[in-house]
Amino acid sequence: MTDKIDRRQFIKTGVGATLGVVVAGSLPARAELEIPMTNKGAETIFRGGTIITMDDKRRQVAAVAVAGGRILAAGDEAEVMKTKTDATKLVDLGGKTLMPSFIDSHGHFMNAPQIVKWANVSGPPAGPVSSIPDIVKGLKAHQEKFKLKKGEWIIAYGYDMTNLREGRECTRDDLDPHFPDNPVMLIHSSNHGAVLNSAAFAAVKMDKDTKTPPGGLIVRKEGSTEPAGLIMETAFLPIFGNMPQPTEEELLDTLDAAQQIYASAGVTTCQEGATHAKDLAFLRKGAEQGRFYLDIVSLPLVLEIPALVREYFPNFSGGPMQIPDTAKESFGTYKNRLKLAGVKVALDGSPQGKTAFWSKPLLTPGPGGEANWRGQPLFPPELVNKAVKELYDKGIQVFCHCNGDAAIDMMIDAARAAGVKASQDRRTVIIHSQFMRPDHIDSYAELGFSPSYFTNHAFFWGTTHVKNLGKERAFFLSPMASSVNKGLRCSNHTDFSVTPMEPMRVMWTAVARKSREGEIIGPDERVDRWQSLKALTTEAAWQIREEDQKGTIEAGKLADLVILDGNPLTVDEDKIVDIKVVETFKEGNTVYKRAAA
Amino acid sequence: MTDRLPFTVIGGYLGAGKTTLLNHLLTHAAGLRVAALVNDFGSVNIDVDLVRSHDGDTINLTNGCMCCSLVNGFASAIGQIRVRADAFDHIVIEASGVADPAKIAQYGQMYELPLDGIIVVVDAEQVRTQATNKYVGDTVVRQFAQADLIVLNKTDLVSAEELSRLRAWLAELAPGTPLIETVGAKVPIQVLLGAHEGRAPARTEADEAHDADHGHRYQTCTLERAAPLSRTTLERFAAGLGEDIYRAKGFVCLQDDPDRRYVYQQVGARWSLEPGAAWGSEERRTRLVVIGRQGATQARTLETLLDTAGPLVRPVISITADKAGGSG
Repeated sequence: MTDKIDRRQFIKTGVGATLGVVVAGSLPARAELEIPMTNKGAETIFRGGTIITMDDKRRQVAAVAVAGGRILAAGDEAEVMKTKTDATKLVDLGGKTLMPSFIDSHGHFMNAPQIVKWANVSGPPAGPVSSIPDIVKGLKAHQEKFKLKKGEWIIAYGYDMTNLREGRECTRDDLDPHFPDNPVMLIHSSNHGAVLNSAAFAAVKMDKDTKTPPGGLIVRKEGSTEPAGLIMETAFLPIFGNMPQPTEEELLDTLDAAQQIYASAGVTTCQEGATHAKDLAFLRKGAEQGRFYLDIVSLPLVLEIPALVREYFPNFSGGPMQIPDTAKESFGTYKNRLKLAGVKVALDGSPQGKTAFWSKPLLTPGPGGEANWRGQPLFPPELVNKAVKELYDKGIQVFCHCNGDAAIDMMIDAARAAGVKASQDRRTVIIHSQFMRPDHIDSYAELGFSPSYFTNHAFFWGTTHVKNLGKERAFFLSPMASSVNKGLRCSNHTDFSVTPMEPMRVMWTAVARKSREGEIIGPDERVDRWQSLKALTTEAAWQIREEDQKGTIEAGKLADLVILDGNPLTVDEDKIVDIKVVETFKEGNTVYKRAAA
Repeated sequence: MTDRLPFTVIGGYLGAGKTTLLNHLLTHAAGLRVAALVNDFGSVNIDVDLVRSHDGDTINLTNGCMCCSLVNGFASAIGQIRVRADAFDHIVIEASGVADPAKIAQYGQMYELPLDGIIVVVDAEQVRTQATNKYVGDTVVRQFAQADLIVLNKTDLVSAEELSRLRAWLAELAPGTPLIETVGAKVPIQVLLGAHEGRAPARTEADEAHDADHGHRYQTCTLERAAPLSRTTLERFAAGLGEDIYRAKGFVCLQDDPDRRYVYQQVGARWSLEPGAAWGSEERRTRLVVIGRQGATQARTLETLLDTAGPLVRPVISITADKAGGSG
């Protein structure tokens, strides 16, 4: 309760009731605050391994000195050792690899606090499940770990029959003997369904008399109408919507575990890439309470603008999609490790769900069996043009989700109509930019668009895309090589938790573009390892306008670093994904350290 | 049962007049308490005299209606209404301009709400351009095919020739779907919404007063019969109404369950027969109101659709006057 009052007062009495209060604050800019005390010398010097700087001018160095949370020096050992004092800690990398830590260029941080409370029943590589006994084992371990009492829900994510050796769906009968007293929900990897046990069916009041709603599926036991376990789509969604929600306090307490998902993967800048108004309030509370030790970049959703304006600019009298002139002051600065980078616009859905928006139909029927299906936009172009122009006019960076080429066309039209040009350095980020056409690359260059690609699709859904779209379109998914050749700056992401928080897998999929089945999805679009690492470091930093602080190991930049147990530039290509994080540093401080073997 | 509120979906592209239709509906609710779910809250422009309170994402009206924003998602809005289900008779959902109204209807049904009908509003002046737009053309055309009733709005902005071309074109894209032509989306609530359990289904002449200038001629016929009807008779009746009938609704006394009052609903080709409360002391009698284009609700024609179980007791015809001309 007190928190709420405090926040209100804070807003009312703050530096003007502006969004500026949200994150921009009274802290001096970081450069001022943390200029390394060169005369005091290095606190830590790393040497004795491979040090990849990600600096094009000098790709590798022999040693790195850190002080005051920043890189003090990077270069030859002799040169760097000049910064050593009696107090300097010398770290021998022992042949391991040190490089800039990774920047999550697009993902959903708000999924992390929830997921850490759930068991992972995904199949390899995202999780440990290959059989029904694996599921039971995972759920038991989870029940143990969280000391779940009788009647408390056991929730798991990533369930998919195709991972199961048994070749059939898991049923309530598989789960009941092991979990007679706890409702169990195994959420399907599509997030559109789940397997429930008997306690869960009782809890949601679904039984033999429950009718299957239109567009839904309730698998029944053979020879009866009793639900067997799996429910999908419209039978599942209302149930999921009514699940007991964790309290704010419970969620705040998971923020450490949530950040560890990132830190343990070598990521020190996380993105909350579709922030609702209530999520922003939650993140602000986490920040105010000092719970963040990694940087969190938030992109409020464009649809939430009216609510945010109402909350933070109560006296603003503009129309529903108008933004106050001073709103941009709220963007671009960290406060207690939380920053608003720009506004998220989404123009279509997902290609694997066939809800993306293409200019030409798929080769397969739509999600509802539609013929000649090409998906559809989420908003009419008139509205998109208006909203995008308002963001550009008010100087707010646009992050636009476009998966299909028609959605990309819409965004290009909107930017042209708003008078955008590359020379304005607006850094419009096209999130996913998945199914571009070759002609889009020139338009991106003209408008200064920068794609945040999602090459993991080649691995996870490559085969599906070839089936739905044909080789020509599927092979051009996340076309990083063509883009780089035309001078575009591209990042690459996991879309966490859509794919796991594994930067090394992202690097590998950009280099190999191999599907699960081993087919190379677009051989011409493979990039070299250096480029694929840049997408996770320098280019990602540039997209969020932090290139002067992050992305390379250069004197003056933040000491956001990661030690890897293998060199991603030289290990066998198929071993890239096996590289493990040994230690992660945020501004010189250890935020993750692998347990000794 | 009280949380099983019937719902109507209003679809149609940006600018067609969905919100105008909704405003009209909310302010002329004629005793029905309507909960409306809207996408663009800012554009709902209700007569200030009718607004009782306006808090956050809801507007409460003095006539018992409510308007609720969909910004926090469909589930949340429906949940908000379901906890107050006793306070409402009907839910109206305004689909976004690019939504498939049939998909919205499916969402509603997954909450086990009975679908009353899908109404698609069409901008007579802009629809041709919209239908050829490279981004939304196919979506616009798909919306027609999903309609139970098409409201062709803003007919005053096109010539008579264009209007007749539009009619033919729409008939091709949405064969058999009744079409109402309007100016200012003024469609009588009796046409828009079906019958409600526990409320008199018949409209009175007084209710029609405000329909006077909606640019369209309506005709109402009330069919009554004392002898219980068979399900087959009703099926034949429903299938036989045709595209000049917009709406049929009322209570039915059914042969195989004569103690219970059944609620009959039809809009376009979509119809349903749902068991309601017991007749109790009320006289057991089927009473159906049929609303259609002027000249279409010929009692004799309708009569033949109910010809298996005894003669009609009393066909009643009323004609609504029409200032604006229209199609009649």
